[in-house]
Amino acid sequence: MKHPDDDLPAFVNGTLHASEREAIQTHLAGCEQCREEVHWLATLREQMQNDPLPAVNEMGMARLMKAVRQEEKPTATSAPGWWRGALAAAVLVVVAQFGVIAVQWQPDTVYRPLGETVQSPRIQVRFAETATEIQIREVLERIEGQIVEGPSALGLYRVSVPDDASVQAAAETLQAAGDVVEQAMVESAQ
Amino acid sequence: MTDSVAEEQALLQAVADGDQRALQTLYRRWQPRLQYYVQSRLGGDAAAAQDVVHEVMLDVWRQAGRFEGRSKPLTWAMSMAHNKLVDYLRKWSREDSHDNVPEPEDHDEGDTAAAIQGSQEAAYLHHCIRQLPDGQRDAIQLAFFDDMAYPDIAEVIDCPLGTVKTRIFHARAQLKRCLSALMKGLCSLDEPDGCSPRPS
Repeated sequence: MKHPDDDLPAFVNGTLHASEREAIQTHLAGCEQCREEVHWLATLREQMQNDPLPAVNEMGMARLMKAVRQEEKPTATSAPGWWRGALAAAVLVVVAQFGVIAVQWQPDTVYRPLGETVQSPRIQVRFAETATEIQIREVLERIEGQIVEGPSALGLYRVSVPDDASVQAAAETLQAAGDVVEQAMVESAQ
Repeated sequence: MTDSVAEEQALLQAVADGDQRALQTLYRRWQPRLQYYVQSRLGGDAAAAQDVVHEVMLDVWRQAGRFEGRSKPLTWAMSMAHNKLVDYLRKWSREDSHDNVPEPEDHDEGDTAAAIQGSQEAAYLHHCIRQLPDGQRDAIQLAFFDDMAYPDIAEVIDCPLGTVKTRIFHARAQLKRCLSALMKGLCSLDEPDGCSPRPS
């Protein structure tokens, strides 16, 4: 058997099929040159994997979720053609109804843009300057919270919690994490 | 199929159905690896890498419904990262030496395995990896840092399987040459233009 040089990296990183792996093990038993190469590749792999991965970028995730919320989730790819037509018709009916309602609206009514949805209360949070990203992540995971906005010019973030969770309890949990959170305050519902 | 692959396929399906929490779970799993891959290709520019990763994850959100399961979900995302990276580099007119594969030269391997075991030696290795042409660096990184199979690497960097093998072959030779030169003092870590042995 000629030296299986091309397959040695896959042998070392464990992605070779079992039968090929067996053939290489048989070859290695009688080939010092390939054994040395496997040793070298294994050392290379070990050294490369010693390089730590960066921590999850929580701010990056907040930025992503903000961008996602700003986008309308595309659904047309999975909907059949007739359904799209029906949906468009339904939207037209709803828009027309809103038009009628808008004409009949009383002046003392609180106005709200049509596209705006009612949001559950959020928590306004200021993290401690010394808090690390890992600490922030842990404390947010405790309340299943998501950063939905921030930082503001004052360094404040808005955090949302699941609809079925108590926002007050979540704020208290945050406030209790004194080394991570400087201030956590429930905002009034919008 | 491994459990994590099946799990990620289910998460992608949930993302395709509009589940933002599933997207967050995938972000937590993938962002560090994507960031590492992109940042190493951008010479350590963390901010630029964050922008690229943001675009990738936004595309995961937009295109999850198009994932056909022909590859692993992470391979699919890494492939998008690679394409974004190429676009980014093209946009900023950075030199991309994908096809600049030098011919292998004879070299004295010496004990290059020992050369990459200590901390000083780890610095040697990082230096030598940085000297590799982009295409070789991608292939060697995906093979040994990400433990990817050749077909997955081929999908990520969008090239034939044979090219992956060739790039890894040349990268190995180049790394040995560079490490050997550093160990013998033929060049130093300060040299900006690599560590090819000087002619005697």
